Amino acid sequence: MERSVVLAVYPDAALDRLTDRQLGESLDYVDPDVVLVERPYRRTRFPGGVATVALGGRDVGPVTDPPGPQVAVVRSPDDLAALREHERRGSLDADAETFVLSDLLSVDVDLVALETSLDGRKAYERALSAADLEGSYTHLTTAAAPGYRNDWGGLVVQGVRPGADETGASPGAAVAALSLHADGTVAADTYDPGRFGLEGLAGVGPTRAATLRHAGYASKSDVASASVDDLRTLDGIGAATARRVRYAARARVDGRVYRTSSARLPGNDPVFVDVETDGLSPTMLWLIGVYDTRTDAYRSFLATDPDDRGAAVRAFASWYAENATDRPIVAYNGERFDFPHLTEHVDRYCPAHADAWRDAWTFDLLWWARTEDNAVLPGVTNALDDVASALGWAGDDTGLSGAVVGQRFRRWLADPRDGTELDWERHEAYCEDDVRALAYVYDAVRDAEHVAGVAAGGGPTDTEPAETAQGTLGDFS
Amino acid sequence: MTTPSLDVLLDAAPDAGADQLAHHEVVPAVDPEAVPAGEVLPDALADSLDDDLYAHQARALDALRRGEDVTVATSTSSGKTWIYALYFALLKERNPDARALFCYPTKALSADQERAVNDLFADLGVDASAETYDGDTKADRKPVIRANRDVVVSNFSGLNQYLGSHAKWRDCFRNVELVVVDEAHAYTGVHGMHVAWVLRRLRRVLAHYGSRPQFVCASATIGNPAEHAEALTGRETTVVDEDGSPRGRRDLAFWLPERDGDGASEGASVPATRRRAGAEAASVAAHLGQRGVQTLGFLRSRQGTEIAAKRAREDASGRLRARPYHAGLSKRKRRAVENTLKSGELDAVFSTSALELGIDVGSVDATVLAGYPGTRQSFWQRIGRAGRGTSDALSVFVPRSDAIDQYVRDNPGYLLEDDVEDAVIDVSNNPVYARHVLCAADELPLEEADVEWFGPRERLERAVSVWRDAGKLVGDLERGAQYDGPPRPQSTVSMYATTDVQFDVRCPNGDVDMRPIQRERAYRDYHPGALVLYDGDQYEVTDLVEDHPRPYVEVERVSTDEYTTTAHHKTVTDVEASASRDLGGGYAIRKGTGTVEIEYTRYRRHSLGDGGVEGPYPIDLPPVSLRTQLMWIELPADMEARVAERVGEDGLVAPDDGGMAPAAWTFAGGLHGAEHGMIKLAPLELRLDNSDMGGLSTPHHAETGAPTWFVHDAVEGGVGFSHAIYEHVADVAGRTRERVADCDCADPTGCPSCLMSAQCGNDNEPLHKAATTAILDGVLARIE
Repeated sequence: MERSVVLAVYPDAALDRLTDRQLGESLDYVDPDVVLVERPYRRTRFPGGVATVALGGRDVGPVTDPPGPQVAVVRSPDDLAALREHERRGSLDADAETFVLSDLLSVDVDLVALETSLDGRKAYERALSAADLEGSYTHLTTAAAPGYRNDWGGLVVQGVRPGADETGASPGAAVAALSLHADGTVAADTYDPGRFGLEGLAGVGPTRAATLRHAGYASKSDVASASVDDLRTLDGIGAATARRVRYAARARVDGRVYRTSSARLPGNDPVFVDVETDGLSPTMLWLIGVYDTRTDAYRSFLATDPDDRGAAVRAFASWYAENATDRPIVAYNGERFDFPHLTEHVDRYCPAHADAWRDAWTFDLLWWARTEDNAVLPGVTNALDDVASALGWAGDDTGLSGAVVGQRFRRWLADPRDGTELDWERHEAYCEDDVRALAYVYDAVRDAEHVAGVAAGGGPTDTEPAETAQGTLGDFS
Repeated sequence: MTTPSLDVLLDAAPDAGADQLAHHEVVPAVDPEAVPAGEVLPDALADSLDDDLYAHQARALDALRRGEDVTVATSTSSGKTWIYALYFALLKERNPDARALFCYPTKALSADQERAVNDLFADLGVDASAETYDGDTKADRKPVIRANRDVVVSNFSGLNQYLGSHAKWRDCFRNVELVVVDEAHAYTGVHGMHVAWVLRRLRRVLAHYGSRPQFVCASATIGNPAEHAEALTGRETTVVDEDGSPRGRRDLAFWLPERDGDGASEGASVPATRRRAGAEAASVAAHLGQRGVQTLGFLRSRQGTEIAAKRAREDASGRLRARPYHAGLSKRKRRAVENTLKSGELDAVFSTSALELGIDVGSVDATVLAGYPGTRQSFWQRIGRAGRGTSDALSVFVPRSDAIDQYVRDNPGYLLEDDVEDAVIDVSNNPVYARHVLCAADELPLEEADVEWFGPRERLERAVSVWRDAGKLVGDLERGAQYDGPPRPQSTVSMYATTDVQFDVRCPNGDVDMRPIQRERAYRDYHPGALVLYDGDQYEVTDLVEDHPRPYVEVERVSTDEYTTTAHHKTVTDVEASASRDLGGGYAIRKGTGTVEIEYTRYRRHSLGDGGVEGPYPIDLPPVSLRTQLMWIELPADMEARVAERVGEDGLVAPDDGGMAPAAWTFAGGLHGAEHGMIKLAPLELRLDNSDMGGLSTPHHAETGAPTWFVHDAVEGGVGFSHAIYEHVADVAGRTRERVADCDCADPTGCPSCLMSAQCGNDNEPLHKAATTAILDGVLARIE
């Protein structure tokens, strides 16, 4: 089981935007072990049971309990020495990663001189080496945005605060949720406040949320129980929006999918796939999981050798050519990710199969539902694990994201040895879980109710569908 | 029909004629230099051509067939499109899967050339077609064009984005054999740098798909076609610049506007108001048009063209068919003007630079220019619109009151010299380089082999480490550096800026179609309270908001007879010289980098009507600091005394407040004047935008230890302008000296036509003509 601790960061700008209900919902969703705010008085917004830490406050030392991973706060480089004492006493688990949180390190990018420097590094490193700590540490800084991560010659620095980025690329009014893993990897996600509360419903922004609240609809349940006619009478909400909003609320509250059009899913014994890579612009597709509904069998194609980057793709392409050319290949967010990468890597590593793969009948369930507006999904976000768990999928819930797995794999690629080697079996199991979750969601969509006024389009097709239903590598620029 | 000649013009104002005609030049006719098509092209293709080729077309095709890259730098309407369209036809015949990319700087030109190229293919009986792919292309057309079109017509802002999803372009990119960069001279300065990097990223992605195409750059005549094209494409090129196309005789007249009686604008520090040259141009065009001489007038602003068309019709008591033309008109209206001009149904058209570039409107009989367009290349391009085939043509240049126009008016030889301005592109700007390297990493992981596109190796390594340490890249060149930042870094590249802090320009009470501006310019020209002119309309800046995800300035449309001047305090520090010319005797010219810090402190409002001044009002903005390129000139320590001697005791000027001795004040005025003058007149030598430059002069600079004046680029990282001035300092200083000495303004402190600058942060004080002349003489004597 993956051990991780969740740190949620609520900057002032986000707290100003969040209603209490939205705040509560965000806490339920993120389920943090510790919450970071910018000033001590902000802590009062949070319910008693939530552990909070303020930037300007006084806590120093571990703020979560062992066994690790743990979060510890330091206010000045001198506090680093105190961590040694915690290690000795056992209040810091030296066998798992400890994440040290401070505002002592900041990143300065100088594009004219082509130099990036870490301000505060000298004093920090000096104190760190004097402290002579035993465990392994990652250094979290509130002076960088959550996407920031870099290894400064052994000093691994990770950013945590939305908006702490001079270029404005990270919006300040956002909530960050960081999953800090025992092996030092970090998954960082940021959420716009509008993701929660009534605003979290498709079609509802701050204005409509206020309108709904004033009309007495305080929660999503209230909206779900309303009729479309009641909602249409409200200012700024017409018939189409009313229907959309109501079904979005129903989906969330009931934990179900609703079909909003008569478009059909491809039938024909689909094949579900999921691909693990070494990053967003991958050099290697190292794990391809495949669940074939015709044989009811799951198998994976694994490549672990940095010197043979095409091993998994070759095996997959060859399997596909022999077994699945007549079936739809279904992925989640395949348009943006799995399909273009598969195509590029098939071209590169097994060009003999390129033509067969080009002709593949590919289908992106997320694209079909969201972009082509054929169904409303019930998750807090449209991420596969959110949708699946909202539908009742009791999967592994590893808290791992593709980004973290990518980080781990890159670490292995850069330096293949025992300490960096991944637990291949465990990752194959995670991948299988993801693929089966996708199949589960697909079935839920297939069996879902159509909204009122929309006729079902008959049964699933047995032959290749017309172009519009086929999620090919079309354009989305 | 009257032959377009000088007589028709003189006929207009028999009394004022002699007074208004400042100069007359006859440019003789030129016969064509032709080459039979069969000598250069295979028979099948040659036979489908009706005429012979011009010599330059033949030479270019020869070079292309030898596998070389070619840069064709000849005048407008010399048939450059034929060269690359014909060559593509050849390629297509050899390889039916061949594809090409044709890139143009404007949408209007793309549309025009798409038509022209398709017509050409049809005439030649070639089975190929061209289609435009840009922001206006409908979503369902895009996959069709990528999959099928032989020639994709586009622009570089678009390509910058499309490279980010190059997998979709696989079919096309695998087969690209020819890339055409048309109107290449338009790519200079900041925009030129971006285009140069997009071209390198394009070549890299094409190479990934196995394509290594030939490049054709089609350019107007510039001083350095090889250097410019090579800087743009990164490849060696063969230049073809001897124009073989024919030309009729041309009368060129320098025509001064009527005297207006109102002397208020001479001698006061007024930015050019642009109306009088425009009004004169309208009258001239009206006069010519009524006598059957179809005329095309060029003005600087959209509003100017509308006013001129109206005025011309009024002058002719309604008996003139005249229309304005500019990019703000709908496509339909523009097409209508283009067609009726071509068919002869219009007597006169007044246009902005929109009709300067290759759009086919046939030829008119005469062109009238209200003001010098800024470069010789542009001047001849506009002039070149007149003249049907080989018949005679008339061109009239009406100068404005600003320094450059006056220089040209006084030195007609300047226009007729063979020398044309150099186009400046400097790829050494690091911020722009780094941003494109990051985009490249997103397109394909960066590896050792990428030194080919982004080298030298040391620079690429530094770019990789600056981004890796900034958390945007992972890995290294040896094993591959992958992009690890937010999606689509290509959309953070602004093709017209060097930093990523851009201010949108918003106008609540109207529509202002302005590109976003960089911070330096926002603080300087768009601080709250500033009055700005854009495209002939006036706006007042009501707010500047930086602390916002999308910073912006807010402007309100106003109409006053006022203008604002801004004062600033500037320092230049941490100066590092990368090259020097020690001229001996304490004179030195150097170039390098420095930190320029500018604090805009206060502004004043001036009334054009009664000359009244309000203010000063404070400006509440933090200083702007940039690390940028600069050049400077150091003078001997005793220069002040030498200048005082040259100027003579009677010539010395004391400051109003008596704060400085007359000799010191005069000397400071000389330095300041030299600084202004060189910036204002550099465009006579170089294609650069002098609003992207600034200067600082001081009788003693802490770091140089000498009397110094600096000229610096006004954008982060520099853009090559001040360094280009360093390379051409003798010419720029020479022309400045000429203008200052020739200016017949009465005031020893100069006027807007010589020393005064609208961008001065010191209220144009101190300035001194004689001292500036003495200083420039001192420097020039040493250079020779």
